[in-house]
Amino acid sequence: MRSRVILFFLLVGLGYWTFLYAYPYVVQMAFELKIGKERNTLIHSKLPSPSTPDTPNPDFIYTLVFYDLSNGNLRLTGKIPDGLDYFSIAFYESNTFFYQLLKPQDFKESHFEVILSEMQDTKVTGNMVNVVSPSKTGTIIFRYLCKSQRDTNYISEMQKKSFLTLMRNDE
Amino acid sequence: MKNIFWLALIALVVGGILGFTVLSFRSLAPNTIKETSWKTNLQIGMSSESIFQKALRTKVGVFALPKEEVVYFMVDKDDEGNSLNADDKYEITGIAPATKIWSITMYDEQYHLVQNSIARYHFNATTLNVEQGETYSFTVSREKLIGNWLPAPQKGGFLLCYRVYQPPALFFPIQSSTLPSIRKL
Repeated sequence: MRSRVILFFLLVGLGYWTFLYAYPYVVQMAFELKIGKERNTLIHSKLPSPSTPDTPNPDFIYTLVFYDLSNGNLRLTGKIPDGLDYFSIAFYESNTFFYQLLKPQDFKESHFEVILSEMQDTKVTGNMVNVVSPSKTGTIIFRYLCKSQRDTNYISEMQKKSFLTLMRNDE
Repeated sequence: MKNIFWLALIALVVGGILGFTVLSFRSLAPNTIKETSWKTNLQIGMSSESIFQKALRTKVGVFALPKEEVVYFMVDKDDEGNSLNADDKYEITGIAPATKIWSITMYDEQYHLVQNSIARYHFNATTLNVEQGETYSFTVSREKLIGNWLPAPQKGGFLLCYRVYQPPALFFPIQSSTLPSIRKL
């Protein structure tokens, strides 16, 4: 009887920690469902509004990518906005945990070129930056600081100049 | 044997419900700053962040950045420790931090920006027109006010999030005097 009570409480603890461990994965899935766009596409947003989920910063315009590296590496390219006080590209694992941040000073030129892969990519040269993802899937978030209507228009142009390409495994 | 299976299953479910309940009752980051109601999590992106802290952060502010890039402070109580309520009026005062990008944003209890007629959800250095080191002040209330007014929700509680981007090294360790004061009027 005593061993059953001990086992019961051990399993309660296991259930508790399993829930906490799994919770971020569930949040990621729910977030993707809420946004409702397919993976490996750039999702450009406007300034956040009360309908935007999950504590958005109203100072920022975001571009999101829910990525999946199952079919190959991803290549992100675009122009670095030079007229803004803040721009960054953040990378998150499949459980929403942050793992890398890129800022304009990480690139030698006025544009960015990022290869996102699961393993170190040896073909990366010059202005390219290789980001190694700890998980096959995850999220990329571009943050553009927007202080005025002029910035809004400029960011919209910058968003249109960003591209995402799937590099097939056989390339 | 069958009994043990059911006992194990019930125990796991009870544990899961316990985890859900604990998380549901926590609405802010895990670490309180001494002498204030503000809370933060400085372990974001670090291996020292516990499973509980990670789960709570995911609930409160998914896709956060580490403290080198931004420090997030959240509060749901005034300086006296009473819950922020839309029925009351509050004065928020502080000193602009030594960084270009910072803001104080209001969220409802579901972590959404608060719907209002003037589409104002926050204040920052630009909208308050303050330089680093200068004092600022604004009022939170449901009724419309002239000047620096941040509209409160129509009912219920609310949260404030203070974000400090690219904090200077001197910002750490965080002192309570660097955080905005929230006084009920």
